[in-house]
Amino acid sequence: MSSDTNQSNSVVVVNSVNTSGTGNQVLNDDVLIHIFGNLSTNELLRIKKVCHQFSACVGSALKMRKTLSIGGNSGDDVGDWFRVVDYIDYKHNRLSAISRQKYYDLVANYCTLKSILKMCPNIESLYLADTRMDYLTLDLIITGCPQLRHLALDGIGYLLNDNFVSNKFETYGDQALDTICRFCIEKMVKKNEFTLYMSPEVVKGVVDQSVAMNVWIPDNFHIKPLQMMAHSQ
Amino acid sequence: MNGEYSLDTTEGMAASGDPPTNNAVDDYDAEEALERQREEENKIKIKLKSFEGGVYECGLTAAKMSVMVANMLDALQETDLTKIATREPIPLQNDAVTNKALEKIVEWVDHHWDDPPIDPDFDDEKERRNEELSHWDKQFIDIADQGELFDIIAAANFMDIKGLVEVGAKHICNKIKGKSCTEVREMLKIHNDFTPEEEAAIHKENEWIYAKD
Repeated sequence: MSSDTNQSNSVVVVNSVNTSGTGNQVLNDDVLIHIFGNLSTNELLRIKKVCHQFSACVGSALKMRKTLSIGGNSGDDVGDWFRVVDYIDYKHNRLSAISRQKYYDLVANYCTLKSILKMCPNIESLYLADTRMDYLTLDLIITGCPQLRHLALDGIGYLLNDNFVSNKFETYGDQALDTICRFCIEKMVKKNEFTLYMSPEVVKGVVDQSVAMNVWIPDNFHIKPLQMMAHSQ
Repeated sequence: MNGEYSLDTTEGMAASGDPPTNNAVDDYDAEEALERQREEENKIKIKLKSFEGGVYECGLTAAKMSVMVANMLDALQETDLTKIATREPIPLQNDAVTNKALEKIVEWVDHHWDDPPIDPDFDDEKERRNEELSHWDKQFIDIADQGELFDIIAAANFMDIKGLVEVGAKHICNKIKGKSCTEVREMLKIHNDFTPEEEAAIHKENEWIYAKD
């Protein structure tokens, strides 16, 4: 409706060259990185192998990522790359049928976690749901994400019960949680602000216990219930 | 008079009978004035010239959605905006700005010129990524000819029209989602420029990624 058709028709099309002009480049890097900004981390990792340009632009796009989740339902979730361990939750579903729960095994996939974090060095928020961890992985997360300011541990409320602590999921018990906190505090003291998010029912217990055990919680270290993560992300 | 306002403004209606405060009226007036000014300015048509030489007319407010065009217009330091209309067409010196691409771009800005501006403070990475395109945008960007599609996105990027680049980016993303590397190559007509050795090296480095392929 607004084009000057006479004039535009008089110019014979010269383009046809420009889309394939520079060899394999379909789009310039700027645009491609922009496009990749809309793709989930998961998708990005997958299409890295398309061509040189993709590989480079995926790298740049990943460096700009600020959030990552393992086991969550968000688009940033990279849980697919981890071995999933099934376990059966008897205790919490006595009334209903036995339910199967999934666990993402970070311990067995240490190297995968390491290379993901290496590709995304600017992660500020990390959300871990239903993951199995140990101190090595926790150390990896804290040292591997120098920009980390929010760490969420979801789905570990269940594991507080002896049932699973004794059942090969040795990682989380009351004590383990407490140690996670101590560990984070120790590693994070130098940082500006750091928040650890946990299930609401756990937060109070951990804080109380820490106070009872005389653990020093610095001012820049916060423990908050998971729901508050949404506001900070 | 109060009754009049409560009919006109949502604030008035929400307050259900309470007369709006003077501040609210002032804000409303200021917003209204700005809106009217944008509307008036959009009636002024300026000319844009594609790389191929085609000239397209576009409302001034709409054209200013291109940060590049807005800067060029500012540089003219023209106080009488109506004179802009009679000036030489603004040349867009990038080979992606073909006639077809510019025609589509003008169509897009003409449809979107009165969009509310994006608030940079609320530019949340994740939310932006999850937001769906509008029906109009979906139809607009669903272009069969891939060369043309890429020209539009590259031209919009060159002209710095953020909203349109976003639309194109999302469209391509939707096409890429769930596809394997081979499928992506086929779809975008990219040939695999990795040597077998390079490919093997990448494969080895990130074995966990491709274990499922």
